Amino acid sequence: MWELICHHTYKWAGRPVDISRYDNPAEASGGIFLADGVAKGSGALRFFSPNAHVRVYPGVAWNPLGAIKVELTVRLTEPSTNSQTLIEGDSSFGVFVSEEKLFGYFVGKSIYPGMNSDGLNTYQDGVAFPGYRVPYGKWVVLTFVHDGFSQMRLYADGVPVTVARSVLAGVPPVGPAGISIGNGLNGGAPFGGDIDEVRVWRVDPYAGIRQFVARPADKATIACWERFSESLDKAFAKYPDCAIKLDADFVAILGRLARAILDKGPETQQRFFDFQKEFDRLWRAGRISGPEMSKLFADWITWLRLVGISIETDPGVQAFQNSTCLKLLLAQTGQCTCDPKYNALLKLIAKASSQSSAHPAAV
Amino acid sequence: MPIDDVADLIRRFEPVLFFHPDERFFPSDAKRYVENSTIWTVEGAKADDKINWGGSGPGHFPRHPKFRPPIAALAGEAGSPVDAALGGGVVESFLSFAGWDGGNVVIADSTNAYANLDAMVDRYGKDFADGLDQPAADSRFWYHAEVFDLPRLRPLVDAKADQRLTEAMLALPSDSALVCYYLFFPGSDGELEGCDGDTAKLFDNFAGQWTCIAVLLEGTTPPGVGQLTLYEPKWIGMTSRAPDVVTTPQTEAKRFGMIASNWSLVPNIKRDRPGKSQGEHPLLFVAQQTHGYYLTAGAQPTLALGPDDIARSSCGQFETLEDSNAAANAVKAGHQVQQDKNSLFKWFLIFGGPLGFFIGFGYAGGMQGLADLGGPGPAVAPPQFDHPPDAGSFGFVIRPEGIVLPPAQSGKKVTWPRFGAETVMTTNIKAREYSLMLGSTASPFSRPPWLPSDDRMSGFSGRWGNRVTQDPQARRAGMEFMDFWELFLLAFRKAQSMP
Repeated sequence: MWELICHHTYKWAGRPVDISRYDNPAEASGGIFLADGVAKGSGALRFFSPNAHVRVYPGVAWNPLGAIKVELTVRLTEPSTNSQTLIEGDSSFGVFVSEEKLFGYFVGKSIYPGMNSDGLNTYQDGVAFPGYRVPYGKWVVLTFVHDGFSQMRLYADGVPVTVARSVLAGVPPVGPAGISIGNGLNGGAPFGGDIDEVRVWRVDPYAGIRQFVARPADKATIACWERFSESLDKAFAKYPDCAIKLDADFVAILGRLARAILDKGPETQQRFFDFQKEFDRLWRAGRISGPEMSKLFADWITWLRLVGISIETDPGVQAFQNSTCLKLLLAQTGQCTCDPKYNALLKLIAKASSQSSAHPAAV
Repeated sequence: MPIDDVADLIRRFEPVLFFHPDERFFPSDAKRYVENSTIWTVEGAKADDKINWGGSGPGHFPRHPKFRPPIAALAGEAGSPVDAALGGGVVESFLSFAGWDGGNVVIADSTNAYANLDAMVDRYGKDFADGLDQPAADSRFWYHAEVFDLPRLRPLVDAKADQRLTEAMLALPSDSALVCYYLFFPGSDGELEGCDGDTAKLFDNFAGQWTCIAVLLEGTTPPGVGQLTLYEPKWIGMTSRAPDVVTTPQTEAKRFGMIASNWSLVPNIKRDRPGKSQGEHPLLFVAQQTHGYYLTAGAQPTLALGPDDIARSSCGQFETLEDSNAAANAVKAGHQVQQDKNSLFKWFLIFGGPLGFFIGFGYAGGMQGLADLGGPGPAVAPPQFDHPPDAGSFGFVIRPEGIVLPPAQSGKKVTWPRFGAETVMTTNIKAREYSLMLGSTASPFSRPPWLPSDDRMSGFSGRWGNRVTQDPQARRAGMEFMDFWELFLLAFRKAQSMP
């Protein structure tokens, strides 16, 4: 579920008007407006001078990110031995060209020990030899995709030009310096060509809560969750540091487990997606505690164990479950027990878990 | 050059509006509405809690309005002044024309969950001569218009200190003028399509709706002394739910915005006006219930749901969770690791213990909004459409006098009010003045006290319909009169940049 968070066309005399729903404020400086870009009248900006740039100011659209897709319609015209920046998000992500090779990166835990960013390029990670090179004088659509959990990849005109590289972290939010298009944040690395269109998506951060409420619910069920939400608000207010810690730990554990699942290969990935699809169908139909859901979880847990993953015995999950912070918040809120179907769902998962015959193995 | 005749400009571009045959509300005189409304105050932060409405002392019922009809909407007219001081501690005010569904009282056991739109329809009528309240019925088929020239617009833009507005303003030719037609609907029905139950059926219901049609004119003044500026229409702005509308935080709760279209794309009908520039009247199709304006007839797709529009995507359920979700997000303020706005949903899982992780994996909604794994993604909410009338199947058709529409564009015909000569915009009824133009002849760029002044420092700035209970996002509360000129400039700016 991608959400468009920034869309520049430079059609209106080169002005950096963001036509996404976020309408991020931006300013352009030093670029040369071209009335005709990839199409007649489509408008483009030429980034030649060392300080030519478009600066997008940071805002809610850029926090959180997690997964991103960056798509740029560009034409390289000037050779350079320096990096030629297409886009750079402060402490977050970037796409650039260097000696015609295309690079994409994000800031975060790297597969290379000790590094605080990770990336790929069409030289070392190309799908063929020699790898893709950004052509001179020709419009191309370049895309950098980071799925937020498991992999990143570069595309040219919709065709993969690198392998899908594993990642160990999601893309962090953009820092206070914002986003620079056509040059580096500090200047001095102009693209050396024309940019007609920029589009950036993130994964829809509200997708989970929207799916959660998409289940048919009677008034009593709605009131139940509303009461629980109110007790959560009070618990957050009482233990804010614990709330922050648990929040971060939960995301980290879920991310690690998800990566472990996806790393098990295409068959496990497909089963994961099938599991999600069926879960969504049953959830939306309100059949969350019946035999179909029971079988779904039994099959899923059995498969996870077959490939060596056991959620319940995962040391991180156990530590989380036994943490003082969780106990403090639970003491404040109590368990949410007023939704019989949801509680039945928890019970059927517990049963499926206990009945699984495979030997547990830690991730 | 200064605009020499504001009234003439307003008359020249009056729209032709085609309504759906099942429409219940029509643009009406807002002044007569306010004169016959009670004015309520709201104190306290929670405006959808009836204990904070009106007076009676803290915590006591029944609650009482601040002023009862008649309300004086102009100086010198009988009644309590519409712009009277409301007293300390008042955070907002609202009008109630027909009370709430279930009664016109605010007592301990009243629900006050919806404005009484049915009573409003009974009073105004749905057809010719079927309204129970004759003055209200007679106030239908009305608009309020004003013109912004650049000297009026410039300080307003400067005061907003918004670079986007400045950018749009600077792009306007020096003799530009913006004619704004404000159409006030006493009520707006609204339901979520594809959903069952009263919650969905009444999800968007509210009393007191303002809509706007804005025409941007470009002027040229021939050389020579005393030459009049000639204006040509260049752009039109229309409030609606069209997919590419510009929205602001103020419009998002009611899920509408404005879209600007180049005048060359606007179907219009010409009208000869002897000795004057030809009239050019846009033909616009009005969506049933939401009162969005469209250039074509028939069902229209609507803007995508905002990702945080949680209740709307769940057929109206879990509306109060939107507040809690915001609270959960607030907890994370300053949290420097990767942020996640599914906080509330996540906490539900956290409290499921290890099993919560299993459920978390079940959510195809991007693994808690962190990733796109290429999986199926969750199913989407039922698609929503706006419903202007189908071509040739019209209810009321409001048009300027002197326009003859072909039979295929006919419906129940009414004309915009005339009071003699075309540029006479004002009439008197029972010692009260009613005008199609907000400003006066002497001061054409001014506003009457029943609307907020340009700088919003005076005039009535409350909501035009009831506050209601269980409405944390003000979806079913009456609308405030907003700065539609601002919405137009943003829409104009966006339209220029669309691919």
